[in-house]
Amino acid sequence: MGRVGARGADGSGPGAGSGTGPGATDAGFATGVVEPVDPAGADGDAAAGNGSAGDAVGAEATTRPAFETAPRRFARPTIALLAATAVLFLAVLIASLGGAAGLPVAGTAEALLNKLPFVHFDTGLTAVQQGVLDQIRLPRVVLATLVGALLAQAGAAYQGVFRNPLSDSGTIGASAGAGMAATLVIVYGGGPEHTFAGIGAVPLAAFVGGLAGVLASYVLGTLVGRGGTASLILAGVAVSSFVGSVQAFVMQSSTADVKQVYSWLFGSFTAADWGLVRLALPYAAVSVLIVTLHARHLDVLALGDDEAATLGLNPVRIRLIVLAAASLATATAVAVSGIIGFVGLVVPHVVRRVAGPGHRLLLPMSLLVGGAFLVLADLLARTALAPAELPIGVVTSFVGAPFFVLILRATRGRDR
Amino acid sequence: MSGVKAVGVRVALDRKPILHGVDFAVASGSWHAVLGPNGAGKSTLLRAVAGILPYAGEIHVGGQSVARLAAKHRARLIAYVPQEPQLPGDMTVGEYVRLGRTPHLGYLGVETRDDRAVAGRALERLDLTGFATRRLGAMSGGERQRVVLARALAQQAGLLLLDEPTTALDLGHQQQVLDLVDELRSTEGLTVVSTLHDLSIAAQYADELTLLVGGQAVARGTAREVLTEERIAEHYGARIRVLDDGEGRPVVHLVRGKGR
Repeated sequence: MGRVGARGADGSGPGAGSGTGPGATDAGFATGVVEPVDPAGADGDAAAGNGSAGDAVGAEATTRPAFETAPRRFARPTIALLAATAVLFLAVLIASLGGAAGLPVAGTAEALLNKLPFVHFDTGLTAVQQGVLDQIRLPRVVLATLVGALLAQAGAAYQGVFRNPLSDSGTIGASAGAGMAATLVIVYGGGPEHTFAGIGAVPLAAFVGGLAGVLASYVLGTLVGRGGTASLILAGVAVSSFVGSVQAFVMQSSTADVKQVYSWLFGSFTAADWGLVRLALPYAAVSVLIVTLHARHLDVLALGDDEAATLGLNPVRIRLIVLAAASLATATAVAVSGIIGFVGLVVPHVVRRVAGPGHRLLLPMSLLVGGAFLVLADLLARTALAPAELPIGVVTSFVGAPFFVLILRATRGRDR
Repeated sequence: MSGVKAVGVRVALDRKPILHGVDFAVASGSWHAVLGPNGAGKSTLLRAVAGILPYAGEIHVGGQSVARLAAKHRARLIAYVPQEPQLPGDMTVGEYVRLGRTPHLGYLGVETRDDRAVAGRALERLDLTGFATRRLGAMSGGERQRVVLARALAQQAGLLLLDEPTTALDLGHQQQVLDLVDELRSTEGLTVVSTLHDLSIAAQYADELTLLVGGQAVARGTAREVLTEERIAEHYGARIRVLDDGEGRPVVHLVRGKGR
């Protein structure tokens, strides 16, 4: 055993070296973040360090920087979540303040906190200001937060399910299906004015179309493969481009509606009201609950299907469950906002860089950060060229892409 | 306790038959090596025993039929290490090893203090305690193999299936990993079934060998019984000599061609 330890320490030389480069703090932080409390483990660390002091592993452990062995792991996930919650609150506050009618900062913050149970501040807002906040700003802010949260968490779930960092709602046919269904309704179905059981025809079509796109991809993927990830992704690509071509044809042949279709395809929260929020909330709750409950399953899936199976899981079934829940989230988001790219791809990656790959932290953090990101993007969309509005998809990509590159560069120490 | 008994195992992949009725038996607590030329079906046999391939015939582990076991129950009996395990680079060693506790957790996967203690002991057992917060991406080849073994050990299964555990390792690390497995076998009472492409190594470590050729077991027994010059020459199409290492274990040598 002594010899094994010595070899281990030798082998770790270069690795340890690269770990203490620019990315060291990140690595330390991230690894700490995902580590749940483990007093027993911390004791074990100490004991092993002492017990094997004679061999190289013991020596290695004692020379390791304090942050790697420090038993301060407990606070880290909690701190990360609290920090993300604070960021989200700030984003919501800033977004609530932005707009034509000026609102006082302190009063608005208090008014927002008043929405929490058991909180009551005397805000000092006038009735008109409170009305602007409640009826104009907040529905839109809340809807943007909800959609951002859903898209980001769905993206994280898709990436986990497919073990592919480039997956998002575009990969599995959800966006394409929703896009085509909405286009058909706008062009042939009379447009957004039509309602069905009190629900707008376009959101309804997008919702159904998104789910149908995923279903088509899944069925096709299982027919040509055995439910493995590669065949599912390829099926998603096939369905997306097929559906995309149909959509292009439809748009080509009815140029009158193209502008309307385009504005929908790039996403917008112009139509936001409490009704849309209420419409989306139940589906959002169900999908978030299901995805979050499968966090550890996604960690195991990262080891590959064979190993997941020998660890007692059914990888195909878990993939189906998480895929269905994430697609429900995507369909819900698309239905109330149109297609908003980039959020599902970028937010989970940024979160992963600071919080590590463990889904138990990644999934809730993606919710919070995704909400904050989209609510700020929407603020930009409605204020940058006010009174005109930018499509939100344009903002997420225009601002998000350079920001993404910056994040990647700043955290490249964590590249494998 | 966790011996293996397989009778008439047949497996087809994509409707192509790979195994044509393989029999073999492994005594509890022993090391059994599955040998054979490329494409003989070694990995397929191991995966069938692991319960992740549908098979015809019978495979019993610890007296229970593998095909009839629920996945979670099966995972508490059998740990499997594939030839090229996927180690997510950003995951830490500690997190990875704790995933070995999966079959012992409820559906929501909440780890108890006991689970973390077992994972901690597995790390300790493989001299990895100081590495718990290290990223997998920062581990060397030999260390990675130890990490994977620690994950399998945390699973607390009596049967350990190893698919080519020493590929991609240099000589020293090969010996280290094999010695480690041997030690775990004797101290933890594990039963080990491994595929090995190196015949001399198999002769050194395994109690018994099965030689698999074209999906059929053509020889079974101790290294001396199985590894004869004629048999290896016939099935591997190789010119070889079989020597004795002085302790009764055969050593297989390649013999150079005549040159020109």
